[in-house]
Amino acid sequence: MPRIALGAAAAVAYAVLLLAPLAVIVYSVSPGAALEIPPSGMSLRWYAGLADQPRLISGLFTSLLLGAVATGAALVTGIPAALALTRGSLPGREAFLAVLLSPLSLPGLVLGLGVLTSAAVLANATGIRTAGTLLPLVAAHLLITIPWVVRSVAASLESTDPALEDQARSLGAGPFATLFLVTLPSARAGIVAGAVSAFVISFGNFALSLLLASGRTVTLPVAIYETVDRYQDPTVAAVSTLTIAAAVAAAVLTDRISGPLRTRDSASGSGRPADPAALEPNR
Amino acid sequence: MDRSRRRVAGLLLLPALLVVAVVAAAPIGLLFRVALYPPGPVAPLSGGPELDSFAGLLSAPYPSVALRTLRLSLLTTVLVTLLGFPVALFLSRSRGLSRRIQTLLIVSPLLMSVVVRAYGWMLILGRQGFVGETLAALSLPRAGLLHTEAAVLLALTESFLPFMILALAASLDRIDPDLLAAARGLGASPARTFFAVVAPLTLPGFVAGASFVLVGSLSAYAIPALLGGSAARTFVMEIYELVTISFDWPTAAAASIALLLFASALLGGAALLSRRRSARTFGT
Repeated sequence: MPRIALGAAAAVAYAVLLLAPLAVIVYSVSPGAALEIPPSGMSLRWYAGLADQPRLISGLFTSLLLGAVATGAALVTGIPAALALTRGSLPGREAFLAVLLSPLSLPGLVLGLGVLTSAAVLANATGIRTAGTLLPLVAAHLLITIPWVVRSVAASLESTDPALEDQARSLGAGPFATLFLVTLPSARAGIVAGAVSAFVISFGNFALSLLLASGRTVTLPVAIYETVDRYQDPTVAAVSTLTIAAAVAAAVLTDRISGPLRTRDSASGSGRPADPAALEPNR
Repeated sequence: MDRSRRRVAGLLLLPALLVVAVVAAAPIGLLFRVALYPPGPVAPLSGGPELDSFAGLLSAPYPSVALRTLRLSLLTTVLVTLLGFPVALFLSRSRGLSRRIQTLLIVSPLLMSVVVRAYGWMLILGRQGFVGETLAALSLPRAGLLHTEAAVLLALTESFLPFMILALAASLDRIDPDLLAAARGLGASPARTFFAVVAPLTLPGFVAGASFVLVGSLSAYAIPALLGGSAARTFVMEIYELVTISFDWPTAAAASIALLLFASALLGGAALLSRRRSARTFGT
């Protein structure tokens, strides 16, 4: 196919990808609650109006807290797992990797229903009530953020030279000194990129959170969903625009730390096509 | 040495594996158990085990909803492939800054919440939205696409397009340029080169992308719920309402298990297909 035709197709596709976020941004600065074509002006009043929307504000803080906790926990569990998969000479490491990545291809709502049912069974059996707390949400978000940390850190570890660690050992560094002074610093880019992705994935997740969020634990995407489903309100567009800006910032940040976002390397480096599930954000 | 190294590796892997066991495997096992109770809004769950809630999925409205969901998912996969292939070709031939900007354009939407993007489409497609207002401003009859299957299809296509582009581009990037030069040198026309060399070598990327898009759009909730509503009810929407409106947990669990089994079969089939295909192509 000639390059011009390919370029035209690409331009159409990129325009389609930009349309929805652009519509949200344009509506967020509209002067009135009704959408006007052509717009009669611009206003930032809906951003100021966010202060009067306790559900959206509380959702924003819940999502920030949940994202931070899930990301922290995903780093604590995911970095050791990545170390084991790249340095552990484990038999069947492909299978372990597949198990760790599998939650990404499960339907979010079904997973949420499973976690909700488990929480109910736990409450019946032991009297430990987790309903209304962040715990089920943290557990569920941990499950879908670990794969991001594992992939990103494992890819980083695989591109560093293990000989460096052998040299540190032969110069008298203990295993922990080697780990903290050589191995982890050399995987810094992967750790940061994994943390950014994990946070973004948790922050934007909807389907998994829907059945688990209630009252004070309603996350921002769930709050947005409940609001747009019922009435027209540019305040929702204002808060959505803030998340769009954050998403673009995260994409630029990841691009800067780990070079052009990888489209070809898979964590296993096995020469198979990149697993698209690993890019899956938030159904 | 090697043995103790493996033991340490096992220990390091344990916490992450435990999370998968406790938060994914156990809950899904529990859904299996719940599905075996008699269907209906009963609490506490008792009776059974029986397969009545699975049998209930064979009566209305589930078969027609399942068919609509499958149709939407297949159409989404076709559209995403048709639109994604030229983009992936263009991307894989781009270098430097152009490639970086394109990658940013493709990846950024993936980092935005699906609810926010679905909201954008509501603003565009509604009667009071960009389409409706533009028609009104042009003194044309006001119309909108919101709450139609077409709206769901459009938004699903947009939301899965990046995955297909990335999957296809990953395959295209791996094609050895010498191979294309050889085909041309042996006298193959550009079209012949494309169909005999490029297309078959992109197959693994296509299978990975297509199975992901298919399963992903079968499992989508936000987009059909917000853009289709009652006009385009999907299987996952039924599950949600079984839980929150009818309180029929056994049927909801049975429907969940049915969806999981179907999705796993699709993914397993795709994995098998790409393994056999690559074995044939590369003779390994």
